[in-house]
Amino acid sequence: MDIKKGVSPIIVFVLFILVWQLVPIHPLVLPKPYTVFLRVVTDISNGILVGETIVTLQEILLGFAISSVLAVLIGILVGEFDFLKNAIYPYLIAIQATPVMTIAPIIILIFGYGIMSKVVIGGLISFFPILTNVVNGLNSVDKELLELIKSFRASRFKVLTKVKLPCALPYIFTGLETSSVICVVGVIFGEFLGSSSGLGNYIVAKQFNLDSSAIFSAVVILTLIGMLMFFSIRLIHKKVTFWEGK
Amino acid sequence: MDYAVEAENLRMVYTKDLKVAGSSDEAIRDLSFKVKPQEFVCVVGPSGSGKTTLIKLLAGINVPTSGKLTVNGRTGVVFQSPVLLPWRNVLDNILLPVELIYDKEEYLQRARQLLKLVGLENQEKRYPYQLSGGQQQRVAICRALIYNAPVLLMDEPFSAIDAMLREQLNLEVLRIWEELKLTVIMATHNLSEAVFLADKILVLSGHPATLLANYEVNLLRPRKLYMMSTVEFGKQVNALRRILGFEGEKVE
Repeated sequence: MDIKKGVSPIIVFVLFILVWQLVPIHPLVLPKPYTVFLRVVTDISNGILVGETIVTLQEILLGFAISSVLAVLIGILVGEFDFLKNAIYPYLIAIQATPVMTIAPIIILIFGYGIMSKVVIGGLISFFPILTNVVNGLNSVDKELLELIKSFRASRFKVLTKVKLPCALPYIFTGLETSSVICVVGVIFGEFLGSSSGLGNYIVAKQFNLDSSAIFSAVVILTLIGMLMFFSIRLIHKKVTFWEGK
Repeated sequence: MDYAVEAENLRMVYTKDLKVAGSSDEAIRDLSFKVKPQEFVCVVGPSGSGKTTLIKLLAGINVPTSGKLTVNGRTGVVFQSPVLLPWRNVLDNILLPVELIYDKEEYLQRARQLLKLVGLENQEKRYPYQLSGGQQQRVAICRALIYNAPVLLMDEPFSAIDAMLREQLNLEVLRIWEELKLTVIMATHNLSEAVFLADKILVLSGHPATLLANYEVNLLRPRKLYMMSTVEFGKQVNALRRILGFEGEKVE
């Protein structure tokens, strides 16, 4: 790997830590970076955060997986059949325009304080970036390519699976990348609103105790989860659509 | 005698995809011509004159508004851009038409023969982004011919390729045409290219396209590049210019 490429993010990280160290806010409110680091290490080593992390991770992965599958399937239907697009697209946009945060309390009421309500909130919030990207991807297929395919007289299904969907892959992956990160946001918000466990639940509890370094250690773990999701998908993206940008 | 292509009073009016609703766009009017089997026909005309429309009608991509069009046998089509699928290697791109309908294994042999014919026999595992523009267009030609289609349709296939290479590709097309005994119909905006390649040139007028002339080229076969600098060749190109009505400075 290019050494310069690897070094520049590290420099930014060091600068960030330096600024954080120097910010003149009382350590009880904003703990110093080293305190946070120690807290993360002890919280993980004595197992306090492991259980919470597992709960939250389950919610994120389930929500994201269900939402991805549904969004891709519905996206294919909407992108492929004009009459479906005409019939339901306005309503899909309407649902998208409704801030998920505002209906989250109702979702909690319906699905309870357990994992399910967070799965639904996380899934709902990650649904649309994937859906719109699938639809855009299917509509972006080169016109000349489609005309050529038309001259082969192939069935619609084959054209979809062999030509249009692969063409849409770069878009679909972009949607998945975006959604992987905001799914975390949705799940944590759901945990804030009403939950009995999970990292969001932990953060709210620690807020009442004024234990800011505990909050930060949960935040660090959430950031790591989000980054891991994003970069795993990015890695698959680059492997699958190897032709992109060439 | 049986013709490879017969068109009678062909008319094509586009009604969809227009900015003004309800308006229509007449691309081709009253076009009649016949193409014999194994004839090499070029279609010339000012840009926007319906050359592409004609190729699409022949390929069965569009249906004529009125008139009669008979094409005997399958057609293979090559567009101005190669439109290869970037995730498929050369061999799989050539086999795409087959794979969309049948099983591709039977045609593997044919695909390799075609690759050899265009001099890409060692490139079958490469991906489109690893090929030059000329190589990509050769792959597109192989793809068009995978079904043993007797009629090859080409819409300005080499117009994005530089002049030197273009001459080479034209020679290659002539070689393929002779070897596979194809009927070729090729749209081009380059008059000397048309004279160099064709037995017969359909000269189209501007919008909507009507047939200005069915020009018989008088040039020996096999065609050699030096022929392009003969007086006789220049006269024929000028004759086409005259038919099209854009002579520019008078030569005579």
